Amino acid sequence: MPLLQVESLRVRFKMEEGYVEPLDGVSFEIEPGEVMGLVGETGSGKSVTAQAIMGLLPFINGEVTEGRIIFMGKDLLSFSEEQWQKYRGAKLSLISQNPMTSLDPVYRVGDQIVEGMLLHLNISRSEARQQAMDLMASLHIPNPAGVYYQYPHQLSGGLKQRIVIAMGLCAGPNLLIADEPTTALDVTVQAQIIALFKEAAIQRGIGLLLITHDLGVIAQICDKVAIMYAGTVVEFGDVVSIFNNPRHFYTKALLQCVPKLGMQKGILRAIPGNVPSVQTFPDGCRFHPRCSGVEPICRLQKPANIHLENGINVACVKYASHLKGSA
Amino acid sequence: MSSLVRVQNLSKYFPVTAGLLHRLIGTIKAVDDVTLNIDRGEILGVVGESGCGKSTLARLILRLIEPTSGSIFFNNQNICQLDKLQLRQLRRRMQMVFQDPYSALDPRYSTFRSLAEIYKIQKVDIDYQELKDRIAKLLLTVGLKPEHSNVYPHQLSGGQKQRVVIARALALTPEFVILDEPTAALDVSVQAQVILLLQQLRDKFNLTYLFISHDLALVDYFCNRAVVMYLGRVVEILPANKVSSTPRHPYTKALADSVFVADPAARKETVPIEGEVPSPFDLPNGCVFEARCPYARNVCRETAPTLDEVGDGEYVACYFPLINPS
Repeated sequence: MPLLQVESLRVRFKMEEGYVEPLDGVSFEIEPGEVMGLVGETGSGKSVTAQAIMGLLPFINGEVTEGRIIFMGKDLLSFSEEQWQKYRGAKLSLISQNPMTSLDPVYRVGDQIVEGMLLHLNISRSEARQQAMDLMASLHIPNPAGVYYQYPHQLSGGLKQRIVIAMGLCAGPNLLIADEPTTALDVTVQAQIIALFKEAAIQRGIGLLLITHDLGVIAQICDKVAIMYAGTVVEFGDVVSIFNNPRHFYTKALLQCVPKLGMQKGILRAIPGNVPSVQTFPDGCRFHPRCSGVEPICRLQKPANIHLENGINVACVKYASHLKGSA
Repeated sequence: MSSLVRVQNLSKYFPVTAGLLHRLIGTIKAVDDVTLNIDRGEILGVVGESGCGKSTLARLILRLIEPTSGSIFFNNQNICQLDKLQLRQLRRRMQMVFQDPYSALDPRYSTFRSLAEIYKIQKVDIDYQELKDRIAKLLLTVGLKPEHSNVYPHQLSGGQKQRVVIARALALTPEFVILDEPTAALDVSVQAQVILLLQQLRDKFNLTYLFISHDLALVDYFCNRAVVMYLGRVVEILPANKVSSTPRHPYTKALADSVFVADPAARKETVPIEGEVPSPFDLPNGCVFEARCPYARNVCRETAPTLDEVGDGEYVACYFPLINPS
């Protein structure tokens, strides 16, 4: 049984001028101990997906209109606020984008880790302090006993991000969601933090959902990847298979946009047009205005999510014949 | 090839003061003793992590800030000695594209007004009709439509805004353009569009670029040579395509090894370098990279290595380079 299963998730927000749908057709699965990457450009709905999984959609105007989110056999969408209090931060936790703003500047960093432990684990403060220091040591924070008593402004960017990861892991979650965890960091520090995530996922056997716009990071540590475009997962499956043999036109085009070290001159390609904003998502396939293989039907009809034989899912009409074959 | 821009022993120190009387407690050497040259028609990349002095160097070269010491030659003319009027005339020939297109454009100005302002500041003597024609042509050059002259920044996407900023830099047909992380705020698909546009414009107008970036793969692809900076100092200058294959300086190697390639077959098993860039406040005398360098010896702690030429247009500042000069 997968740890987390997201099935054709659809989310809408009520705005002054009517409804917008930042998510329409998001499906993927994560197994325990697996690192899954969720990659997409600005406004593709990566962070809204994370919010929906964590039950953190703005309750005033946001709602899930379709789909299911199953976590360890439980339907998260049916959870009451009391149930969420037991799960959120304990069984599944979220590391949000910027380490500088995730920490409270007036509390010692160690106490910020302990806070989560006291809330979710039935232990005393001194036990929690010891566990926090152990956790910090396991995340390669030098001199945990000293760093524990420091304030966020005394730490470097990389150390702050390690503290934030410790906060995410403090109650021993089964699923960790990290939203752009390395975007604010320099490359040499990014390499250290990414290695740390991989180590933490393997050692603890937890599922890690890594949200990023960086295809290099995905290729480096993920087992599976879901490619998002304009609120839809267009392709999902094994990372090696998708990078070596992308099936969706967007995935193909996206991989050609990224310069690689040692790349031959003159082979960089751009995708024409702009990333649509949520108010201007086109009808039919949302990628059709920028797609090089567009057909008349793409303008009218949203493509179904097609399961190919090797565990790859792709939402493109070009593969519709596979749909008939499997049905 | 002749040099268009020559920078000699350029330094910029920022004083750090404290207390009521602003007592001087130290200096930050944002740019320290930098010497480099940019050939006509070349794309020179500047790479390094945050705080290494990339952007300060760019601002110094355009004399947007005054250097502490050293000199800058543009077309063999020392621009540090120019007065205000001469400098303004020179600025027609050297322009800059800033990092964040969202803050580089005035939100209350239409595209037309943003672009027309350049002609006004430089007191270009043209009538309204000609101005309109020029701006329409300029917009077409950067891949926008003449209709875009009536819209405001909030109506444009990030990529379109950056095109307007590029159009503004090109308005007075400069010879030299500094690009300060021009694609850092853009999505990858749009980044590729902007890079291809910049390449096209260079060929069309015979431009020379100084391209600042923290993205090594982009510098490798786009630039001819790369300048690697660390804590205000140039540690290595080398052909851009050698950054990943045959770096001489241990820092260049660490930087190149830290880049994740978008290919699962190129996974890295080890972390290339531990630690972080230290504070630039009151650095020790030795090599700037000494604290993180796996090869550091006593001599590295005592005196800083000089930037020596090791090949045609290749320089390295290291006592123990990874490749010995042949």
